[in-house]
Amino acid sequence: MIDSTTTGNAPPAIRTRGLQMSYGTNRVLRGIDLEIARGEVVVLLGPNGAGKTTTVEILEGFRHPSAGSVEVLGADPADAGHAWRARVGIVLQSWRDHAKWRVRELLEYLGGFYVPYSGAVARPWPIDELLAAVGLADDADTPIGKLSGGRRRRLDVASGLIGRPELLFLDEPTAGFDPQARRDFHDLLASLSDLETTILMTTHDLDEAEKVASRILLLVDGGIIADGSPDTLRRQDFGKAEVRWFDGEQHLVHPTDDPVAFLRGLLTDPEATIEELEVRRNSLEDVYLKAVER
Amino acid sequence: MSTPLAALPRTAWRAARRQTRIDLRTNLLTGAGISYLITPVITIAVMIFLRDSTIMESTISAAQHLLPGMLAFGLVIGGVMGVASELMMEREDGTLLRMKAVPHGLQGFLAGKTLTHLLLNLVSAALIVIPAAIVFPDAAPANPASWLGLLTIFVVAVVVTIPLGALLGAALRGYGQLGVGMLGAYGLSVISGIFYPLAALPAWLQVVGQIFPMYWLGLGFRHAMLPAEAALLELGGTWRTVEMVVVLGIWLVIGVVGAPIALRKMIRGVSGSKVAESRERMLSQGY
Repeated sequence: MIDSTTTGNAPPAIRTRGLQMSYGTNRVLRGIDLEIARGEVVVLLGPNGAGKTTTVEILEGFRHPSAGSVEVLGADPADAGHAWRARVGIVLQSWRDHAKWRVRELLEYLGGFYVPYSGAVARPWPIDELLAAVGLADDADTPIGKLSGGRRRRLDVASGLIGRPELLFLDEPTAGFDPQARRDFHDLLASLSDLETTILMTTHDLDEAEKVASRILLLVDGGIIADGSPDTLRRQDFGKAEVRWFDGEQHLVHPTDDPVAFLRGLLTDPEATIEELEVRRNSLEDVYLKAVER
Repeated sequence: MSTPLAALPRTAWRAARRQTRIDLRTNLLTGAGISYLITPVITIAVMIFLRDSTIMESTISAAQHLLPGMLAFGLVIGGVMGVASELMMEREDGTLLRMKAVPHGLQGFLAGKTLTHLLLNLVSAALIVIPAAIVFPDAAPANPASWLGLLTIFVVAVVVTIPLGALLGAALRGYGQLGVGMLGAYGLSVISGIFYPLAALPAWLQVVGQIFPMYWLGLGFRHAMLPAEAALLELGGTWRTVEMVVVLGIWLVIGVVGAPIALRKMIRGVSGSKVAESRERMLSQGY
């Protein structure tokens, strides 16, 4: 939620400059410059091992970058205090903690920590409203260990939201969801973005990114190789195109940065047999799939 | 943690009490509560079995002598190994990460954990002392002064063992090491004069036994609960209170200084990817 005093020239929710991360000689992030405005729903899309989780953990303040500067909600997450923590929500992929606690008990317990940070934004989120919002109203008194996998993830979302965060991090939140749960989850995200919560989510699912994001960052090999709204990215030119044709004997494929120039040359050759001519530009999906294949 | 407990906001302290309430309920009022009856049942059964034997030609019955030892043993196992294994589990299952994401969450969580274990230890000690006092009036503290002594050494035991448990839990890497620690703790009971006076052991084992707090806590409990002539059964024939205070004091300092350092280091390493790794390992290897 945007504080009324800062709407005039609201500073970005997230800003990084030259963010790098290395483990020994292994460079996981190669200088990331990023600016995310308040209220954006940004999806960090990339194959496994691209550096998504590392990026998110640095922004959450759980990891220290090797180089570069990070600012999240106006503070360096590495040494931001409790008041900053209260404005940030994190949806974890939990699996068996607090198994004997009831759903309501865990949320009331976690919510208690946010009481001193109530101000323009009332914190914590009232439990019954929150349970209804994530679709757990019927499970308030269920022991957490007895929840199904999908319902457990809803609880993870609820505990990330209990402090009514201005900025919400979700790392692969829909891993292991069935299609229905995934759809419900996307609806929930849409309703959150209506509340002007800034959301940064990671996924390796292109479809999902296109559905929920107002902006997609494509992270491959520790660098951002594409950045824009799903529509912009779909239309964007990703460099190389492929020219394919059949010369009467075999099928030929020629990758080129300038298909027009290549075609001029090809078509003016009076001797050449050219059948089934086709020019394909790389789409976001092509770029992504190539990155994933590696 | 980085902020002393005194600076804990009232709301975090309230959350700690809520956590304690819930954890006491899930520990004691569910099937798991049965495990709190195991040590009392074994203790009483062994005491009944030993009721007619005396220790080393003294007037002290073996049953009487066993009770304080079992209290010390139970508190060390519960306080050190219980806290250590819980912390290890909570590091791997995401509890610590969850609390790390909440303002003052870890401080509130650790305060709640300390309070929970204080009360759980009180319950398990009472479950041993009260039935034993009913079945064997001789074994119970004889007068108010000795009940007060029992309460004092109980508090000392809790204050020494819980920080050591936190230190161990933060330092241990993996369940293999925890298993070794558990075996070590049970092995220690044999050379700590819990079941039989230390004087009956070879001299070098006596020295090893006296390094660890289990022996000194056992001595403290015997001092509080047994008649004065029982001191003759101890090394040197006295209760060695000064030595006890010194050794337990050293262990207290190790725990109180070491636990926050080890916890801080452990907590820095907690992240979503670490929890995910533990989950993968658990699902594929089963531990």
